[in-house]
Amino acid sequence: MIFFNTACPRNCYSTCSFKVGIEGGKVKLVEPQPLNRATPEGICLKGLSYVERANSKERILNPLIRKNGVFVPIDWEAALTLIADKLTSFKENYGSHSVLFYAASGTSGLLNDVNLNFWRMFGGTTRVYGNLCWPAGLEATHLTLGENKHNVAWDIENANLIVLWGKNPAETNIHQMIPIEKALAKGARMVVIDPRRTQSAEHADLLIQPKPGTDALLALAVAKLLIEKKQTDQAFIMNHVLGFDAFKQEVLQVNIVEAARVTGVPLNLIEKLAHLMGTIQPMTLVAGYGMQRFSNGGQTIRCLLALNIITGNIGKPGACWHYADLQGDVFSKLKEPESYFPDPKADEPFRRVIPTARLGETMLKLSNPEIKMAWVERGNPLAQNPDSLKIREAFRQLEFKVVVEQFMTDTALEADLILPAKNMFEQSDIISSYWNPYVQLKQKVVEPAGEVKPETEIYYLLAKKLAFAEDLIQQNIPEPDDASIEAWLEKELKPIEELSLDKLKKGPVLAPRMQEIAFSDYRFSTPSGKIELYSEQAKTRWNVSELPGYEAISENDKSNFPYQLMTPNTKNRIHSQFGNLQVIKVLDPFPYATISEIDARQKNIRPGNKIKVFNEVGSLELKAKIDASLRPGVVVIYNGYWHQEGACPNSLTKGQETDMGHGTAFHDTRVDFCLVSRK
Amino acid sequence: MQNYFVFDLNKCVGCEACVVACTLENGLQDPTPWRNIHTYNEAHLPGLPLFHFSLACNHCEQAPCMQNCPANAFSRDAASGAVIHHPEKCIGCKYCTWACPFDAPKYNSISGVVEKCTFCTHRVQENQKPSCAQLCPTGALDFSFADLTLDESEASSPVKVKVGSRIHTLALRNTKGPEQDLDLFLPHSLNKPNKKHFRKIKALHEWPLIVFTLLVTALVSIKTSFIQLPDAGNYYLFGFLLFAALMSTLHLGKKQRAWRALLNVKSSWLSREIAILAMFGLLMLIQLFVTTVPYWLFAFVGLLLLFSIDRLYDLATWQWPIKFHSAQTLWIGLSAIAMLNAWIYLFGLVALFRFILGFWHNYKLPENKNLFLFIGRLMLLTTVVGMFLRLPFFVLLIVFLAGEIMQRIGFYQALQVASPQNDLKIKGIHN
Repeated sequence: MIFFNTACPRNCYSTCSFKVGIEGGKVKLVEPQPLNRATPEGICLKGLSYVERANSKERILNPLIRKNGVFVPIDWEAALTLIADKLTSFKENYGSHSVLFYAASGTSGLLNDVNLNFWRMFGGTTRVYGNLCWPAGLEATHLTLGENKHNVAWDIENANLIVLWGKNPAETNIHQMIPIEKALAKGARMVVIDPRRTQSAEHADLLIQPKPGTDALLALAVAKLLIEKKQTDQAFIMNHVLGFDAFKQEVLQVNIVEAARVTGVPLNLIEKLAHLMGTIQPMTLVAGYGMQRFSNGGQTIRCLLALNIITGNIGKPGACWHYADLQGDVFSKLKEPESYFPDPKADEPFRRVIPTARLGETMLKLSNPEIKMAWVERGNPLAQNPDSLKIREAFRQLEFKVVVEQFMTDTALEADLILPAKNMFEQSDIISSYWNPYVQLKQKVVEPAGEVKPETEIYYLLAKKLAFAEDLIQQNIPEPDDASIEAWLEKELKPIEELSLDKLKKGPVLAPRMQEIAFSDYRFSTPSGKIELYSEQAKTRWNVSELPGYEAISENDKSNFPYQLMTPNTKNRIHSQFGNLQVIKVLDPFPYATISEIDARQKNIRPGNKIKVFNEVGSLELKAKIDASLRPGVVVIYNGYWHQEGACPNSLTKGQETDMGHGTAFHDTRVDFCLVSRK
Repeated sequence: MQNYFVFDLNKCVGCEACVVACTLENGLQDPTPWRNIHTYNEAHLPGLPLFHFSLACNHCEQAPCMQNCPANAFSRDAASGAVIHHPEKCIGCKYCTWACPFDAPKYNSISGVVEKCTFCTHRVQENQKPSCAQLCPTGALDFSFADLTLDESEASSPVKVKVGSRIHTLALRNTKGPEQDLDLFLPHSLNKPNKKHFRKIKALHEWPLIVFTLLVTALVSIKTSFIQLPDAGNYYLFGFLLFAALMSTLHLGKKQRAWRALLNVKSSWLSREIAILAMFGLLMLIQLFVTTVPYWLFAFVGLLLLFSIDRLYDLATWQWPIKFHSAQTLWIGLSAIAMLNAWIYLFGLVALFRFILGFWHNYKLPENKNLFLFIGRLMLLTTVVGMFLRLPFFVLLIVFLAGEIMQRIGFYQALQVASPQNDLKIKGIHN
């Protein structure tokens, strides 16, 4: 067996380095790569399952065309000719914006940028803006600190107080538990704030369970107590913070008793949290992405971040605002979240953008031109975007849909033409992480299975088919052979002298010029050069208050649908990926909704009963799991279940944007549920 | 003992990567992973911790699976210390799955034999850790090539049984779970941990064993009492024996290998039971075709046979305070012999002894209270009373037999052997 260094390109914090063992041209074994200090012990169960995923019998290995409702194989030549004909005809009859190009985060890599080069040559398409995941928090951090970075992943070991606010690393970022455990073993205290009693909470001293969507008010109440007790870091505030006095005025208005009522957190626990934050230094506050998927998500994150700021927990070992670290991305000119925003200066080809948060409804409404064709790659919008049934409705009205996929997902099922997608072992590419600070190469280690062609090759062949100018093709799309791909990647690495393909082949490389302790130079690239508790941009860009504040999420439908739906991630999948594999199915055989014991008793529901979860958007039937420590009033369905399993929670979510950053307010969704049957 | 697992309860987050690692390394097919995560307090009761135990085979120094296997299907790999199971020698009797306190041997209903963790001997030989330990992403499950003393092993054993398991456990720091706002949840009085025990042995599945043990007891009782049988009777009784033996093979995964059950007389009570049963059969054959066999010899071998049957269930004494149970075949046999000989006082005495045992069990292990045992004992009491009232023998016999069948069913229903699914919970509450 020969081992190669590689790294996992999924949309996941950890972005593990690992070694892959190849024998007989097949992926046989996955082993740890200790050179990555953030993921030294090895990859998670999903990563291990690559051995099955890469060799799965269910993988799509050749182009498939829908004929009379069933998919039949079609050869590449015919498939490409068909696509070229359709593209030409739609462009001639309706303009190139009648084509929707949709790509998501299924596989990361620099080569993904080739797709836009192709579509630009084509004359442009309609594209989506915004993001399903984390932009509200990114923008909140960006407004406040100027950029999104945090201390290196292993620095949490140095914290004496760890606050996991809405994050459950034990499931979603398992490798973060290593430095957390090191800190705890040394005597650090840990608080988890989450309506659920998560696996991460099992390692904590204190679990605070606010009503979903009220985290901002909880943070403001704590801030008030800290200010009143003079447990703030005055010197830090004086030197580095803009707008503390205004913030203080605002915060002192908060009525703590009222805050306890609204958040559902008893006064003594609010005081306890404030006491811990006021007396223990240094503190790392790790904010998750779930609680910013509310219509007040950006402001919520600003309120949380304010706690780091007023206690001076920024720029020191163990003192950190831990949301996202984009220091590893040394390639992008425009980083997230700004890359998600519609660009007012976009030129003609890409001037037309539609929000991913409201994809279905916008597609249905678009005119002049209407969308006639869609091209989807690296994504599964028919399962993962909110109000996914409306997206399906919109898709079904299109004349031609191309989906590039490895497996028969909900989106692939609706395609007219499926092109087999490469997997991570079949083409080299360079990736970075939003949690660990490494630049990594995922190497090509096997030839593409069956008739699989990497996207770059598909675009190359399609460009030829559409008879784009040769010199343009050469400039914009790499030739399909391995040497050309490597040359293309070398070209991308060239501006960064510390990086080269040879170096990356030996293992992960720390991003050049990254700060181990973020903001240790106390330079903030905000308009004022200071930490902006008071942000003019918040007002001008997003029309929210200049100060962090709490706005209740929409409560008008509370009477009809009394329960808050949460759709967090599970350890068993990355969004809608991996759940179809046998090794995962054995561990997680059927979809379920988790409800609290009190709610279950009220509705006479017992463990394993089938329940119906419903609201004005749609309904789902699935098994009930009963949790004695889940906050009552909350229903939890993991995101990533497929419609094919009958359990996609986006049958229930509304298409709605967050207050800032063009994120998606999945968690504003309210539902009700009832018993269907005992089995 | 060289080579052992190291497991840190504080580092494990129950991610199941070890299970996947094992499944892929060993090419396992659904439905039986060799490694399992056992979770304490899965219901998330406030005030109790939730923790996970990753367990496969711990390759014990005094491996109960190996000692109890009647077919010699286990061996020890001298180099690695691993307990290796040989499927081609396995008869699928599942006795090792009862014996193992870690639930390591897994019965595969498709292949009809047991399978289990190999310590990844193929890797350990090459100085590599077993796959599960190598690939644990948090470092909770690890492997050491060093020596572990028996004392260290016992001090940190995840279950109560002391068998020299090759695992060193690092104890949980936070043994109460996180502090929570208890007003949000059901009051503690309504929310008690579910004490319902997981039962590895299910009476319904073991009906061939119930039938077998009752038939053999009946046979021994008849041959050991002084009742006069017609000549043809002994032929019928031999047929009886053959039928019982056939019954005992019904629960085997590999019936054609039933003969292998005799191979481990040295340390397995199952083998001894079969051997003594064969001796008893031999005596019957001698009596039928060769010469008279003295009564005392039948009595001796017969009671020995019942004694050996009961010893099989000594495994259960890990849960029971003493090795005596009121529905053991020896006591049923003594009652039956007393009844057949119309020895009223002996019958009453044996019954009294069995009642005392019953009360004592109910007192010591209330969770093992059982309706069948209760009814069975009631019928035994009825028989005693009926005897002293001189009720017709035939009626008493019927009541007695029905009572003993009830008690034997109850015996299997209440049969409790060590399993991490129970033992981890007990440990969790008391520590």
